[in-house]
Amino acid sequence: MPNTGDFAIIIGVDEYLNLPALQGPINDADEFHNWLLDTRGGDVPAGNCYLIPNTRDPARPLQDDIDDALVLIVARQDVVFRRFYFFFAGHGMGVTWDMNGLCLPKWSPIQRNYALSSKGYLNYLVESSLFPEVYFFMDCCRSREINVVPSNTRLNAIRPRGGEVASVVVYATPFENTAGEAPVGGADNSLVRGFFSRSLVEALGGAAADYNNTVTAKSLIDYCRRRTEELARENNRVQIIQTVINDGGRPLEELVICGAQPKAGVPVTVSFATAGDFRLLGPDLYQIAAWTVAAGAEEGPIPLLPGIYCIVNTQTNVKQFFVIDGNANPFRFSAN
Amino acid sequence: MATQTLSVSAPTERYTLSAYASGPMAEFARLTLYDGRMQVLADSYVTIYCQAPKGLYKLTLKLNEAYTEQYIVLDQDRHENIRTPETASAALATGFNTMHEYYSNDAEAISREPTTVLPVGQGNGALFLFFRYPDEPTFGNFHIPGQRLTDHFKLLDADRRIICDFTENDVREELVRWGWTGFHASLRPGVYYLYYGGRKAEKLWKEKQGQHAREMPIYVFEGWQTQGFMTFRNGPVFTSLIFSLAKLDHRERLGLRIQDELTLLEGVLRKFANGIYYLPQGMLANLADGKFENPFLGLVAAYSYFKSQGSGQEQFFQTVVRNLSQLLGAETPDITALNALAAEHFNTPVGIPGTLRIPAMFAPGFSLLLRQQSSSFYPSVLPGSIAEKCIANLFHDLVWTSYKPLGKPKELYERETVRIRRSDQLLESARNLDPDYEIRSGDPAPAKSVAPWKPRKPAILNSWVANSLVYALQNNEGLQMVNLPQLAAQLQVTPNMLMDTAQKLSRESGKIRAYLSVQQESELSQTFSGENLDKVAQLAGTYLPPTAG
Repeated sequence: MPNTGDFAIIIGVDEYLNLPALQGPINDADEFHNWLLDTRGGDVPAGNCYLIPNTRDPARPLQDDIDDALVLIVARQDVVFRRFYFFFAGHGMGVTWDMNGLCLPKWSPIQRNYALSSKGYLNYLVESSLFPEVYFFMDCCRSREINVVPSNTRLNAIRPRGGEVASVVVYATPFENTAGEAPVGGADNSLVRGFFSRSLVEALGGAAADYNNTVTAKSLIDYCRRRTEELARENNRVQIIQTVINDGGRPLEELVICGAQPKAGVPVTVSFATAGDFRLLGPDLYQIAAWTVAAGAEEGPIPLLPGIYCIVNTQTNVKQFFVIDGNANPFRFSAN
Repeated sequence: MATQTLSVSAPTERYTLSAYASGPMAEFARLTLYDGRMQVLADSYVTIYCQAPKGLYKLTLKLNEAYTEQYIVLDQDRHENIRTPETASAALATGFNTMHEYYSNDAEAISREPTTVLPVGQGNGALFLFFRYPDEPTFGNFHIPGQRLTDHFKLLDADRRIICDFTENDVREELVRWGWTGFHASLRPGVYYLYYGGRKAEKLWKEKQGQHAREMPIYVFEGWQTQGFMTFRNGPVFTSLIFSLAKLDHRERLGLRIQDELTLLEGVLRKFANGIYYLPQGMLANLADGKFENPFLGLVAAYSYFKSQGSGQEQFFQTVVRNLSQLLGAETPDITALNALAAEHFNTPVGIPGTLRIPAMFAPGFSLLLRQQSSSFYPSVLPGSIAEKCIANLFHDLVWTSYKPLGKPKELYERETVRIRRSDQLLESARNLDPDYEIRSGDPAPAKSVAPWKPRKPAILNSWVANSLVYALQNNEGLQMVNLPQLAAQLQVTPNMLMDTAQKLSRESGKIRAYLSVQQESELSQTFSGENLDKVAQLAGTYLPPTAG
């Protein structure tokens, strides 16, 4: 049963008239859009999703394009609104700790208005009280070399309220910092993705699922925080997400975004450099396996659920740790 | 040979898990504890304490750009100590991996003895600047023989006249082994400007990228030495810049002291730069005990407190603000901003807030003053002042105010030059006025082939303020919808600047129309259309409606 009350605006801008080109935003927007449409994901009807990638000639989108989409959404009379997703990937510039300028293709140091105000759009969506849940995901820089002048939406809430609306805003990086993108590696190394967007789609795809096999606002944020840092570190960068949350009186653990398929476990193979007696301990310190092995031996694959694991050499008491990620492909670990 | 066993322990087993950060800047270290399923269990500064079930845990420590982690097997009560990773700073202070005696010994000596006497005379304040590489290897990798760290830098007085070029005679420097330059001069209290002329990218040196020209205010306070530290790599790293104050009144305390205060200041400023207003408890306690002697610590602490909407320390911070006003002078823009912020926080009446002529040194303070131009708590920016002129050119990448220079600085004793090309009569009158004037009559320009006349692009079309103003007018149905103070606050400029821009656009509307009539720039033509220029003229009060017939 599709979530007919859910709507989304997804913006990806790779090319700018006056800023360096990016390679990831449209990929990121596409991936997020795919998750929205997936019946096992967001399950949002295609007609409720407004995917707005940039075009080169003419340089679009303009603010009108986004506002027009918003008008079409809020004018819908045939549904009961439940949730609104706003996704932006592209260049951004910080204004204050809770406001970013989301640069549109025409943004330039002279035309500083060609940027959307993240806070302006959020305020409208919250104050209009149309949607009980509002999610903003923004994969863009928040640095501030010069003063950006972002524009609020031209829509106005008729009677500003919003106290009961739960809003979850996730920025790819803290105020004053930059966000990164990199090739995803593996077979398709030409595909570039933003660190945050990649972690976001992984999380929504089930990697952030909690014990109940649901992705909640809390588990999503926890996962994105950790995973974005990891992806950035793999590319010799530092990037930490920032959140601005108004839970509308509901704990984040209770804001269920989507369900996830029960996990089958990641196949893990352990190779041993030295001979000895080893034990594999799980997240709760339960012993999963015990091995007496020769040097160079391999054990596994063993299906392991996401979490922290420890291999103990029972003779030397040396402990080695590894983390199984919800998205990890078959995993190999070398124990000493 | 593998034997698969499964031992099950009681799920109710719980233990104490505490962790604390230690090492340099530990007060600013953010700890996060993940449980065995990588869910965040606890997250706070410096220490974590919890009761948790038996299991595996992961503890991470983040300190600005540095990161470290460790795993914990919780099968009994655990008290973990996690060391802060090494971190760099331009400040010569304990705990940083960029603190080296081959810099600090000379820096301390220079901070106690002026390296130059400037032509503007001495006073009861002082400025000490210390530029250096982070360490010897970086110097070896990046320094180009023959170049000096102070290349392209100048010190300007309050009227933007050059009072120091940082020549070899003005500074002490070592550019053979480690790379440092120290400058120290006694100065009268007041505002000075550090000017950096910028640098073009060097084609033959890939690492040498270009850098923007930049200017920044530096205050010298009566009885205090203002100290500035900055590191270099392939040029000055402005983001490493840190300013501090040292008392001048005791000989034994004069100058730089290697101490923890600078470490704390650096920690708070880095959080500030990331929009995080965080004050370690230890720092608050020391402030309360009056242990710190660096007023900038009090200044950033008070900013942090008010900006974070802190509570519970009202009386203490009222005292801090009062003391800072006495120490540094209530009229200086940084203190003015702080006083206004305090008045707003306490909702106490303020006197006439006055006007602001010069930018504050501390960028969050200046930014605050600009955003609150319509508030009765805050002073208004004086039209035409340096404070106003720099607004449209501000950089926002430092915790210190800096902006694109307002033109080239003037010489301190500049000879006036009259440039006359065409009129002999004018030339003669200039000679009559002052026989010492240098006359550049110039050679007649060589005849050029006649090209079709094209109107020049009016410079106002390149102004982001003009573009933003027209954009705002274009997107409002009527002028009554444009609230000038509100629009100014949104653009972070003053209402006066907007009105000036409107008047300039209005004055130059003829040139603009002429230029756009022969251009193919549809973008500009759309923005600065006749209809929009008419709206600008209405705003500027110069609109003449077309007459019938």
